Amino acid sequence: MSGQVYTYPRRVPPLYRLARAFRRASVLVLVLLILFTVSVIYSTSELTQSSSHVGSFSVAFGSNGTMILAGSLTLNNPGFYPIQALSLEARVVNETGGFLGTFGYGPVSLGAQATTEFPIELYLPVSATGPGASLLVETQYLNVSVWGNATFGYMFPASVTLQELRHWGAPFDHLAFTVQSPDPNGSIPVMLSFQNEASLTEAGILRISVVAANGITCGTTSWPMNVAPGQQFSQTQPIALSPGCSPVGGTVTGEFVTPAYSVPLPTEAIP
Amino acid sequence: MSAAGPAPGYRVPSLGWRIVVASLRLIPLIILFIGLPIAALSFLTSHSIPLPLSIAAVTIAGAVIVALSTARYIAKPTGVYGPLSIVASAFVLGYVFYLLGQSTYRFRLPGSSVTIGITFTTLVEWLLIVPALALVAALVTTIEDARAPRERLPFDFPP
Repeated sequence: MSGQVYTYPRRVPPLYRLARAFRRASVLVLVLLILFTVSVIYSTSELTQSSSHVGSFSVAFGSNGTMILAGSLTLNNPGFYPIQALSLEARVVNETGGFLGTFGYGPVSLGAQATTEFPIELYLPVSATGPGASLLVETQYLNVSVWGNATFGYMFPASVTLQELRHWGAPFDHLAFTVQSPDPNGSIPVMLSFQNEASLTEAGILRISVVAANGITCGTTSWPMNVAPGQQFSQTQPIALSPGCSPVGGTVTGEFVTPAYSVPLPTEAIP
Repeated sequence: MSAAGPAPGYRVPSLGWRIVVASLRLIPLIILFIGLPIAALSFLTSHSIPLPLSIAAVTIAGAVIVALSTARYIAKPTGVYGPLSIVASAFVLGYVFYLLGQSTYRFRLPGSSVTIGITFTTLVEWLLIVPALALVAALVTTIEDARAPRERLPFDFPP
């Protein structure tokens, strides 16, 4: 290093001091922002490696004509910053695109270095008609769309959307009523068959009615049943018809009844 | 009453020395402004994730910042230093504004139905403070050089 040697003044000029202050402030802000960003990235990487998970779902019939998918989402935030404004929304449609139900949660906050379990309860309406009927009688893949929003490190809003096909085991899969020829004694044998593909045991009373074309109930019967998950069910039951009531052109309707709830089954036409 | 005594001398490095040091400074500057951003973007590309910024834009902007920083360093003892600092700060300010326009990043994870959206607008807005302060510092230095040339040299090149 070479160059001319000059006298060094004692007093720092005001303009130089001012420029130096701005330069130092600029560097200070930059360093603080870099440190903050690095810590947020580190916290986020910790979050992605944490033990957050969606718990297994249980399926149950509800008292209000719904099937309830209940589970939980456990989020573990080992990072330095809270997760704010966390909200989740899910939408379920059946295989043919029929809307079944939606689930919403939040917004909630998850503190730093904390683990929280969020309940997930999705109510799917079941009925003898409409898209909900397919839940009863068709094992299928449901299309589940999930949206999630949250803010990390106070200043990083993030969103996640995903679509997933979830296997659905129908409790009355391939439900079929087979109406046989009327007996001479005025009763008509009706065979009911289905497979329980759901993860719940179907224990209750099965009630079947034969309804004439004009809407008058010709006869009803009921019997207890207890069908374990995965079990095939097939049973023929004679239904005593009211005198003069013709089932031809009518329908067979069914209902699964327990003390807690009743589930209408899809009807089937009698040829 | 201030302490009296002989003031120590200061020495302005020669042009050759400043070029040598500026060349050495190029290494960390290129890594910081070109190497690391391109490595990050290449990492995304290698994982089939669409890029939030174009590699060409990042390379060109990084090269301009490095070139201006080097020129500033070499020109530090001269009157060109202030205007060069203004140009460098203004360019960085423009670059950060460009980043602000790209600060919402949405991408789909390859091989899945997961789409992630991240917004870093607030961070970039805070980042704007850095070149803005540097720009004010450069303006003050330019004014100082115009009013009293060489006044700052003893403090920029202390003994």
